[in-house]
This record gives sequence, C-alpha cells and structure tokens, in this order.
Amino acid sequence: MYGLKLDWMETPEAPYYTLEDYTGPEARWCPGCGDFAVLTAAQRLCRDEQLAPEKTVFVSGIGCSSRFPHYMKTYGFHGLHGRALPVACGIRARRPDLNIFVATGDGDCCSIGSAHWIHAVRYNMRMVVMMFDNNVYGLTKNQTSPTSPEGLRTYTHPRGAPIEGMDPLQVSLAVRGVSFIAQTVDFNPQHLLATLTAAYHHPGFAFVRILQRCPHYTPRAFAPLQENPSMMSLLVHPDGIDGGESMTRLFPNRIEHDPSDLRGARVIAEAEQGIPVGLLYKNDSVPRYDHASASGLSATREDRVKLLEQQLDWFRI
Amino acid sequence: MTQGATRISEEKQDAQPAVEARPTIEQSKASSILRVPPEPSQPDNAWIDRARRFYRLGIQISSRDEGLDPSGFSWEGSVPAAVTPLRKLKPGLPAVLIPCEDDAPPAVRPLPEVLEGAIESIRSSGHPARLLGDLVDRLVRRIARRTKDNSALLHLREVAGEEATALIKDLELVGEARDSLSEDVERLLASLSLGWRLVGPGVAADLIAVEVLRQSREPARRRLLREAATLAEKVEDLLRLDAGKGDSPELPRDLQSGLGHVGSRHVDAEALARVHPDRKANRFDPARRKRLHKTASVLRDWIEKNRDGPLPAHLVTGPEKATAFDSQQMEALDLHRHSRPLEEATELYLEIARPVVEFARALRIARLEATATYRAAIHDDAIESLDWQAIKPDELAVVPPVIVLLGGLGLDSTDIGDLSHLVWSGRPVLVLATGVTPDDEEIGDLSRHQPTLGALLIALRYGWVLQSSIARPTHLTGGLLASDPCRPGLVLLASAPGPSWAEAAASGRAWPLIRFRPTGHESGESGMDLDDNISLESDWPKFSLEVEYPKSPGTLEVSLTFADAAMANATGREHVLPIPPECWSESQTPLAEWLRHPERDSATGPIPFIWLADGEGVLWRAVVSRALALASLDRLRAFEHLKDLAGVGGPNTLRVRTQARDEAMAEAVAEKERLEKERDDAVAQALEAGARNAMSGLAAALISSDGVLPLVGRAATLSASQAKPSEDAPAEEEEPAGEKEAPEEPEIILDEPWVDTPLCTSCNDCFKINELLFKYDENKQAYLNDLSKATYAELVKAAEICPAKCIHPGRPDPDDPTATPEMIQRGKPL
Repeated sequence: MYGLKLDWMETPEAPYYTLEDYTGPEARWCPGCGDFAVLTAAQRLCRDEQLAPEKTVFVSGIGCSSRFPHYMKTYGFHGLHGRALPVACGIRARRPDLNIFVATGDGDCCSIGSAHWIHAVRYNMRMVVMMFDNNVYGLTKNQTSPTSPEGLRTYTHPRGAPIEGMDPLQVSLAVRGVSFIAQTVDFNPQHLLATLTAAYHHPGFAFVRILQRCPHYTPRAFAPLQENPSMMSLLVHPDGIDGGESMTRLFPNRIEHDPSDLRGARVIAEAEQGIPVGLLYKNDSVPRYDHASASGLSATREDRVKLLEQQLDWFRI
Repeated sequence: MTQGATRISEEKQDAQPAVEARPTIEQSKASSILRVPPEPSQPDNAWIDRARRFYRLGIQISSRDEGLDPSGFSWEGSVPAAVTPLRKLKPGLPAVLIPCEDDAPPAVRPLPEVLEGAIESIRSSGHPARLLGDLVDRLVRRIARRTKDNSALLHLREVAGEEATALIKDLELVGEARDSLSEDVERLLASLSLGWRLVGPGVAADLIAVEVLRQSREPARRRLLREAATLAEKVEDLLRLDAGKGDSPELPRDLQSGLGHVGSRHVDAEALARVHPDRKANRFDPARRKRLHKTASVLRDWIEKNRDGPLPAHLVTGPEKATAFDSQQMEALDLHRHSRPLEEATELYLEIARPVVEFARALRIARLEATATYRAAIHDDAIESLDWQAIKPDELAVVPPVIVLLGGLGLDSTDIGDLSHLVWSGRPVLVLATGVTPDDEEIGDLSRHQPTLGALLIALRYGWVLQSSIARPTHLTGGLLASDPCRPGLVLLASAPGPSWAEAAASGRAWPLIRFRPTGHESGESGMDLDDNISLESDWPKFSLEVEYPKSPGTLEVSLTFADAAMANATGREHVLPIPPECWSESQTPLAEWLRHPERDSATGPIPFIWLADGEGVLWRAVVSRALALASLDRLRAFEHLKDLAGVGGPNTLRVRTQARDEAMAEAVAEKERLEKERDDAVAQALEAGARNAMSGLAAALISSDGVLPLVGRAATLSASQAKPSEDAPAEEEEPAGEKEAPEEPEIILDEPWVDTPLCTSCNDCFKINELLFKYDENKQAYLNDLSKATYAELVKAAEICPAKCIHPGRPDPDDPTATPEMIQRGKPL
C-alpha cells in the first residue's frame, strides 16, 4: 500500500523505568561514603532521562568508586586499574547507540591512567566521566594519591605528603580538545544531579570532578567546605548548571562565569581562593573522534567488499 | 545536498538516546537496515533527460502498476519525507468536549491539557504524582488510539480508566511504584466529570456537529427555561388575581381575614366598607385575560417540552446518503431525506422555528405584563409581527439545529443554486460537507483538491465558514462552539480517506484551516482566522530532518508543499517520478524553491522535485509533473489570498506594511534632519556666544589691574561646586540595593525534628539506627516516617552520623526517657 497508513503517527509503547530498574545489589561502601550520593544521583539521572538499562553501560577501573558498575542494574565493565577510559572509548567507537558513563577515582584516573585521561579528553568521545576525588587511595588503605594535598598524612607519607597535589581541572583545561569540565560536591545532591544531567546532555567528553569525602581516611578533606560554604564559589550563568533555588541556597558566594570562556575557566581553576563549583567550560563544537570511528558502521559485509574492490580497481593495470 | 543518496535516521547516531529519541516503528525499521549507498560514479544522462521529459510532458511509466519503477524505487511503505515530522507534532490528538455545567458555557480543551490540569490539581492536594506525570503522554497516546478507531463520542472517564489500567498492567510495575500509580489514577479519574466526552478523528463529523451545536445552545436554553418558569408564574399570578375578583365588594371580608383576630380588634372592616360603599374590584378586560391565558399556556408548554432531554436536532440529507446515525441511535433526532436537501432545509427551518417564534412572543408579553408595562396600542402589533428574523440571538439559539449533510464537492449547479439561496435567505442552517477529498478511483484529478465551496460562502459574505479537519478535533469543535447561531454556516471537513491524509492536507496548504465570520470586522478584528495553520508566516511549513549523509550525519531542510500533501495519498502518485542518485543534477530544485524561482517558466529553467522516503528509509528525489507543480502554485496563491483577507502576511498585507514602514521611516528621517539642523544651529549660536564671551573676558582681563583671568576663576569655582553634591538635592547615586545590609533573618528554631530531604545523600546510615523512623522518598532521599517509633537519643545519633548534616533532632519530648541531659547537650548544636 502506498501513502500514509492509519497508524503512521503512533509510537510503540516504550517501557517506563523506575528507580528500582537501575538499583543493583546493596552497595558495600563504608558507612558515610560519598559514593552513595553519586550512586543515587546516577540512578536518578537514568530514571529522569528514562535511559534503557540495556542501552546504558557504566565503565570503571580499580578503586572504591570503581565498584560502581556492580551497583547499577545496567551493563557494566569493571576494568583494569587506570584503563576505564580506554575501555569506554572502545565502547563508544563501535557502539554509538549506548549511553556511556565512566566511574573513576583520583588514583585510577590521575595516576596510572593519566595518559589515557589526557588522550580521552583530546578524543572528545561522547561520554560522562565521573571522577571521584577523595584525595587518597582508599581501597588499598590510605596511600598518597595524585590529588592528596601537601601535608596529608598517609601510610605512604606518615609525616605528610611532601608536595602539593595536582589539580585535575587545570590539567583537563590545558588539553586541546577539551569540551566540558565541571566540578561538584557529594554533599549537595541537587547540584550533583544537575551537573551530571548537564554532562549527560553534552555532545562530547564530559568530565565531572566530584569532591567527595572518604569517611575513613580523609573525613576532613572537604568538611571545611561543608561547614563553611563560603569557601566555595558557585559558578552561575544562563548557560551553566541550573539546579533551582534548593541547590543554590547553600552557596553564599557566586561568580558570574560564561562557560564558553576557556581563558576565564583556566583563571578560575588556578585561583587560590574559593573552590569553584559548577560548569567551568563547555564547547559543543569541538570535533569528536567517535564521529570518525563510527564511520561505516552501518555498512553491510557486501558493501564493504564492494568498496574494497572499488579501491583495488584503482590499481588495475 | 547535491550528491549521494541519503537515508533518514531520526535517531541521531551520536546522541545519548533520550525519551523523545526512542525509535518509532518507522525509525527502528529504518535504523535496523541503515546503510549508505556508494556515490554514483557518473551521472546517467538518459535518466536526467527522462526526468525533464516527465516534468514537461508528464509521460507515465508503464511498469508503475507493478509497484516497481524502472529506477528501482518501490512504492511499498513510501511517504513524502516532509510529512514525517508531523508524526512528532501529533496535532491530531483528541479534544475533550466539556458540556455546559451549572451555568458555565461548554468548552473544548485538548486532551493533554485536561489530563495535565487534573494531575496539577492532584499535586496541589499534596500528592506528588510523579509517576503519573511522567506517564501522562502515554495515557494520552492510548486514549488517542481508542478514539481514532471509534466513531462514537466516548466518555473520557470511562476510557481513561480502562486505558490507565491497561497501561499499569503493560508496564509490569511492581511494589510501591504500582501502588502509588494506581492510587494516583484513582484520584485522576475522580477529578474527571462524567459528562466529559472525547472527540477524536474517528468520530463521525455529523455526530460531532449535532453534539457540539446542542451543547453550544444549552446555556441560552437553560437561561430561558428559568426565565420562562418565573414569567409563567407571574402571569399565572395575574390570572389568579383576576379570577379572585368578584362583582360585589369584597373588602370587608378580605380585610378581616387579612387583619386576623388581633387586628380586627383595632379596625372595623364593616365600618370601613360602609365608608366606601361603591368599592369593588375591576376585572381585566377580556382581551388581556385571553392574552395572559395564551401566554401562560405557551410558556408552560415550552417548559414542559424542554425540561428534560437534549435539544432536538434535524438532519437533512440526500436520499441515498448514509449517515452515522444509521448505525447509532441518538436521542431527539429527526432524519429527513430529500432529493434536494439544501432546498428542503431552507423550508424546514421556517417550520422548526415557528414554535420558537411563538414562544418568543409569549416571553415578550410576559416580560411586559410582569412589569405592568404592556400597552395594547403599542405592543399588540409589534408582537404580532415578530418573526424569526426579529427575535434575539439568545432566543434564536433555542431553535433546534437544522443540519444538512452533503457528500462532497460534487455539487451540481442545482445544489450550488440551492446553497446560494439558503445563504441569502439568512436562515441559520448548518451545511456540513464531509469526505471532500477524492477517492482512490479519482487518481490524478488535482482539481478535486480545491475547496471552492468555502471561497463561495466567503464571497457571499453572509454566512460563516469553518474549514477544518478531522485531524484537528480542537479546531473543529472550537469553531462549532463559537459559531454564530443567527447565520447560515458551512463546515467543510477534510476527512476521507483518513486522519493521516487529513493532517497532511491541513498542514500542506491543501486544506488550510479557516474560520470566517462575516461580522468579525465589526468588533475590530479580522473576520478571517488562520491562526491554527502551521508556519503561517512562511509559504509552506518547513522542517529540519535528521539524515545520514554518505559520510556523516546532518540535516536536510524540507518544505511540506501541496505536492507532498497530495502524495500522502495515492492521488498524486501519477504526478511524480522518483529518480535514483545517478540522475540527480544541479538543474533539479526543491519544489518550494521552484515556486519562487525567476526562471520557473523558462524552457531551460529548473525542474522541481520533492523528497520521498521509501519503505527502507532511503530518500529519493521525485520529479514533479508540471501539472502538480502548477497546482501547488495555485494553492500557494490561494493561501496568500486567504492571508491577505486575514491580514497576516499576504502579499497585499506585506505591501501595505512596507508602505507604512517606508512612510514612517521617511517621517523619522525628516524629523532627524530637522533635529540635527536645530542642533547645528544651537551649536553655532553657542560657539558664537562663547567666542563673544571669551573676547569679553579677555578684554576684561587685559584691562583689569591685577591681571587675574576672571574666566579661570569662575571655571574653578564652577568645577568645585559641580564636584560637591548639593545638600538640598537628593543623592544622585544611591547605594545599590544589593549592597545594603540585608535585614537579619530571624533565627528559626523548630521544636519538631525534621530532615532537610533535598540534602540527603542516601548513605543508609540513618536506616541502620532506626529503619522504622526513616524512609526514602521516590528520589531515594530520606524523610521522617514515623516519629512515634523513635527516641530522642536515636534522632541525635542519626544526626551526628549523617554525613550531609541534614537531620535535625529538634527539642526533646519531656516524657522521652532517652532525653538525658547529656543527650540534650549533644543534640543542641544539631
């Protein structure tokens, strides 16, 4: 039959997902761990965006936070130490239809995985990277991590870390190809969810650093921020992260910052005073490596043979 | 796009798929076989010539009947690409007809709006109804599906209940999610009134017309019913008064009974009667008594007939025409069959209106009699001469509607003559023309698309016109509700061969949505209303399709032209020739651009094409025959003409607007020049005066004894005084409001324990202390569930352990044994 059929305007009934559809087994993190807040935020994000569990994958490396995929009732990949991002890039390269989230810690991402991290930023493949930064190696019981502040006493450095830790924001912002950098805190679930939601909607590599306490080894790492919110600066802009009044009420200090301003973002990241919270940088037009890698995905075997033969014909004598 | 075939892929390949991006039936079909064909090695000139010949001469392809073109194009499952975005717009959702309740007028509201309003009221009563809110779109879709295939006016509450139950079942929800959704659905159903009816594209147009017209007249009918009852009572009171009067004096007896036992001790009724021996009641004259009797009788009869049941309606149709009422019983409905239905309806209306005229006369008499202002010499003749044309609109509204059901546009000259006669007679008969689109047997007859009847009525300027579509129930029912009951009306309804075609036709200017009121301009508005047409400001609706080009995804701009709308049905199929990528050339241009192309009619000019999507989602150019292209041009001009009538951007409107703007600009430029000249003159004068002053100052300095320049001294003084703000004047710059110290907020101390739920990080720690006290909400954030099952000590411990510091124990209960001084001390800072 030619022409519009009676059911042409219908859409098939899609399943509706509740929070339970994303909730895996009971999480086994230490009591009071900040990972719980991120887990709930991720589940709420999936529910709010109605992401099909079978089309969603959480990838992780090694560390406390890297247990994340086990607690999501979606697909997951618990990879090697520092190799969460290469695995995620591989998935994105061949499965452009999936929603990809990466759970990685400060040790996993910024130490053994630092080379992958820099190149993943450069590739700008679409995914959401949740970098859990608790300033310490927790799973292996209290060693100095790349982001541990100077003076932090750990088993590696009982007298305190001798040098200042690195700043993942500055590193990321320095990489050519960066397209989305945000920072949030685990103790404000509204802001955390709003940040992850913005990251999810970003068409590229969305890097979110989550300042998150380890109740066991760095319980006071971010407690001053919680007790005195004026130590943080909320980045506000119409193109920034909008979480409503219930989110912003906890931030007395606010800085107007246009997230398209890369130079401004670097200045904010380098500032000594005021931990920035919000969207530092966003650029939707950065080229993406997954566009190139996904080329020809839909070609059938016959098509590929045909194309190959066409190419070979150029060399025919 | 100039090379290579493209393939529709509405699901962006790079997107994180969200709810709205879920694949539809066709999307999933397309994406499952998505492939990019290789670019053509060289163009096929023979085919390009063939395409040009097709455009010029309309040469058909013999193998078309076999369903396959020589080009390899298959018609199976094909649609014009420009109509595919309509799927997402979903304009054809059913409307809800809200009948006249109490004294509120009836209304028509889109189904989503009704359901969302009901959900909002549930939320305002304290129930979050999140799940129901998320699922309301699905519920709307399900209900829409039911109405699409149903020709009756269904009850909303009933259908919504059934579909919601089925939805809950299909979703396979479990536990709390299912229970809370079921409860919210119950609340939703309770907020929907029983009488609310669903008007979907499947409902027969005559059913809609009868029901809506009845409803539109219901408020006036009820108002008149109440007034008639009151007036009948008053008229009967007058008659009773008259009957109570006798020939003998009645005063003593009446007065005595009126005064009663106590009053009689003070007034002697007999003595009073003796003072006025001739007093007696004057009876009404016989003519008045007769008039009152007749008035009361007419009013009572009318009340009796109209007290219960709906307003009767009369349908007139041809002898053979089948109606929706043949299969459905409808209350108070008369079906008249006649070989000339328009003429029959014109006469029938007088017959139907006669009792109403009689009633209107009785009503007028009763109003005058009730206020004792009836003067026979003045009113007798006036009321006797009252006919249906002279009675008021609200009285006329209670005339049972007379509706003529016409088949289609195939009216002969007799019908056209009868229609003109009906309109000029002014009798408010409604003419309903449905099924005005061609049948499949009439393939290729493009002239059949032209809805000229509406233009005829508009030209006659006496009747109202509603050109609507069954795909737009809200437009149809809203237009009927707002129709003028005192004038003849024509409703043209795009229906056959179905809502899908009707929607494409309405959007593609093939069947524009029109509301015309001949008296509209009297209220300062345009009598023509085109507001419900998509993309009114442009020639054709434009859409941006997500497509996959051979090398990368991208977008393709398409216009939904008349040719696309015609192609949505099989009607226009003979007028296009799909061509493969090898035949694409620079000389081919999209039809929408072709229509505005300066070389359009040149022999070497461009060849118009539209985009077709085949059953597998591959886009094809389809060369349009000159006949179809010119038909599209005609529809474009017709729509521009309508826009001119409506004053919303037709060529004449634009010309007048440009002219007005040019005039305003010219005035502004002249004013600017005048002001500049004034300014230049003022500057010149000031310079001249300044030079004069300077010269004077210089002269004064030169001749002063101390040699101090007075000018400098004055300037210095002036600067100082300017720098120092005047004490009297208010400060020019006040301190910004934001920098003022905000008034200190009073510290809020709550006695009751509470949880700042939005801050909860779902760490489960509080649950480990008392799992009966804390509970998670639907966002997995804690709140206090049952305070009776908790102690103060537990609250304090939970507050201490909470990493988000969102638990606040409040003041302890004095009877709580755990509220020891130590515990109270610990709880204080929390």
